[in-house]
Amino acid sequence: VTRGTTEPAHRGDDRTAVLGFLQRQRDLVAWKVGGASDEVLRSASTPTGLTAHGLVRHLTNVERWWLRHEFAGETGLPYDGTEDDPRADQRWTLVHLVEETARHLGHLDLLREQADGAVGAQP
Amino acid sequence: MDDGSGTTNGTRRGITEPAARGDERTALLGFLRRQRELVAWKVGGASDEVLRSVSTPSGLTVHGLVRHLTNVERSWLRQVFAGQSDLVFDWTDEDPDAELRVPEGVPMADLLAAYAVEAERCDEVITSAESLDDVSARGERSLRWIVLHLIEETARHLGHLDLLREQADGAVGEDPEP
Repeated sequence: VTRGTTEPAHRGDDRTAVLGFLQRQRDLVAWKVGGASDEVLRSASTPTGLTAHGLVRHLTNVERWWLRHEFAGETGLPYDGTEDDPRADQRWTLVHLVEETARHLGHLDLLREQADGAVGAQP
Repeated sequence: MDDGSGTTNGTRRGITEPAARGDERTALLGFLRRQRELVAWKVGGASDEVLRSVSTPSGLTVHGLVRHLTNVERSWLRQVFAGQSDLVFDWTDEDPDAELRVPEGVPMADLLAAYAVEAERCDEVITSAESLDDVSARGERSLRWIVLHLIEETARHLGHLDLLREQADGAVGEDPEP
């Protein structure tokens, strides 16, 4: 952990590293939207309607879908939306969550800058 | 055509689809290629003038981000991991963000071509290594860490490009439409 954010293991096994990268993206999302009021965060959106609140809920649903539904096969899980794709192994699922969370973190970067001017890649 | 649903990387609507199962190096290469290709797709089909019409308040531009990603791959894979010397970068010690400020006359087509050449050289580094456990010539990081880092970094900047492109001409979307 560096400055409150997960630093993925610099060496070592596959699962430890990928989980570290995913946890870092999650930590950065929480940091990026932290320290601003709901009012300030709600003041920014893209023309198509992406908002900070919407993106955080989207990421929660995306993890539930990919890891618990698609990978683990849990049933009866509630969603605010769904996707579908072929069956993939655990590595694919985790790396996909890294790329998806990172892309949305990029959206949050610009929304937060629009909301109150706060910028930065990490704490 | 391979759709990536098995153990080899496939293609979906012109974009790499990483292998759903199997070998780690194949999958990570597939994910990195997908991110690069999405960057090229995201900035495609718009004139330099349109792309240059937008920037963030802190000065990120579409041209700057593409040149940044090219330098970042060169740095992590060829300099840090492979230990190659005599590499040229658009940043300097005195001006570590210089790559982000692309001169007016440089077209996106040239920046994308340079990105593609760099990607090919970097793929060569990834595929010729003994293993993803190999440790970098500098900084003691595994090749696995470096490739995963490039995936997260490219994806985050792709998120920036998503919003810049929307601001430039209203074009949106995660990947190419069917």
